[in-house]
Amino acid sequence: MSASAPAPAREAWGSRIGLILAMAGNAVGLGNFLRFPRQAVENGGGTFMIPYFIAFLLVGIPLMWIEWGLGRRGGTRGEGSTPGMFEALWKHPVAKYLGVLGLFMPLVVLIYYTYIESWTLAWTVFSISGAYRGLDQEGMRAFLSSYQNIREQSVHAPWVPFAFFFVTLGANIWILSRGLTAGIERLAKVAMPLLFLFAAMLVFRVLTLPATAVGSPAEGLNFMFSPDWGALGNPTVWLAAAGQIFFTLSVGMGTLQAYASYLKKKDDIALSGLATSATNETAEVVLGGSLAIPAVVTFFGVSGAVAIARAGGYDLGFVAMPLVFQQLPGGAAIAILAGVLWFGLLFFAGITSSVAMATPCLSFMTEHFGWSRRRAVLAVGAVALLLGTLHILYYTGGFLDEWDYWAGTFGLVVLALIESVLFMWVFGPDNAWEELHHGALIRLPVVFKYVMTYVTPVFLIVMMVWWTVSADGALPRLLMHTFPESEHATRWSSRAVMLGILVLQLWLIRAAWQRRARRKGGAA
Amino acid sequence: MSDTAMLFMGLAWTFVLGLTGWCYYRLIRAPRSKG
Repeated sequence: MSASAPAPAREAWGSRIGLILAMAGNAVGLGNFLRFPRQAVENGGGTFMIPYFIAFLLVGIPLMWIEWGLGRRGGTRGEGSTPGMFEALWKHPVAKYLGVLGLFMPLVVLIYYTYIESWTLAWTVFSISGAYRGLDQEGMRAFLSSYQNIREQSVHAPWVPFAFFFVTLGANIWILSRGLTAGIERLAKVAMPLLFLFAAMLVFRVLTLPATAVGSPAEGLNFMFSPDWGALGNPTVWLAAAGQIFFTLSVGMGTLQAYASYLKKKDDIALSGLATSATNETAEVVLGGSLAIPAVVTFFGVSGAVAIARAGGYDLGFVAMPLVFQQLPGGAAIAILAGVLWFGLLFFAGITSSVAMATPCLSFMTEHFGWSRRRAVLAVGAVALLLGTLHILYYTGGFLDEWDYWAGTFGLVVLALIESVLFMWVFGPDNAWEELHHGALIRLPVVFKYVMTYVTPVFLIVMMVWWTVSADGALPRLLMHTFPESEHATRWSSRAVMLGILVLQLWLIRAAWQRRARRKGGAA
Repeated sequence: MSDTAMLFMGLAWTFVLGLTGWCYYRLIRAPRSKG
């Protein structure tokens, strides 16, 4: 906000537990239950856990603290988004423009993530209505494929994906319009305990399943956690583990900073940030690791599970799991209940993340342009509605995949690198360390000061370079070397839309700072 | 389930649940935020 006028009172979290649940809700997403088991299986099983926890300690937790510190510091200056937060750290005209990534990525991811989130709502309804009851594996795959490709009207009417997307987006808009405490915090207080309850019930059911002719839950866990020592020497495994830590903790996105901006100056961030990370890891390793793979191995065997996992996280969640539920002892009622629990928990995981993704843009528009929250929510909702329909129309051409890669994968590392350099190097390690300890409930081990200053940025640079030059990395993707010719037009169109969003946001930042300068001039 | 797999799973669960438990224990014992 303008330095010439006192910033208006910002909203604040109602309670510490509400804050932690909202932060954990932001972090716990579909990836905890769909992406993690797949990554673990594909990257050495139990051995994956070694680089995974090393990345958690060297990249995940340090970035979590950096983002909480950055956010709280910005918030006390009336800034709830990264352009203003970066400028508060680095008095350089470029700083605010670097912060555009913290507006661009959450908005872009919000749009396509809400669409994926709407699948979970749809599958909850399909579980109850029995729409996929009796289908075999091929039938179930066609059921998902028809939903993803509205031109292929073999199973679903074309309006069905639109309807579920509109309802899901409407739910997000409604929650966001209620504000921070009455909307986001209340949602977290209801959805997160339910998510854990649903997941715990399913884990109990899965782990107590009797063995079948092809497998058992114990074989599934064995498959998940058996070490493949050769994998430790493979850099891809280390980068996959670091990547998973990135996605699962939602660092490098701009959302944790936005939530942390609603903290007060003396609120703890050291212990709260750690508790958020730990809660997410419980959801991922203990619950996410004990659900899909043991269930699928029990009914499809190890080779069947490998084939399903290689087909992607969506096949695991939306094809294999419904098939598993239909084979559970207890008949149709149990199949319905398990389906509702599974897709319900995915929906809760999704919506607690998507409301966080909208927050940076809402903060930016309300703080820099004086918009009411309601107006900002409706504007973000309208953009999401308009561009979300493009994902429904062109999903199979790679439209969503482009956004997921550039904003939801590669961009995360770029923003994380920028913010870690700004916070630990430009702001300075001593200032940063002091900032993290304002109101802290625990004293952080001093080794983390050096990890955050040296190890985390180097780790991020290595990741970025690798992700750029590897065979399926940014460079070959950018040049379309990894895609069939038939997808090129859709993918270029997808990039053009993303570029349009980025340019518009850069222009908005420029306009916001010009507006601020005019107000300063007027006040003087 | 092999012994090694059980060891890996046990270590991972112990680390995650131990860390989570410790964090919430400290949070519960902490004084309310002064803001």
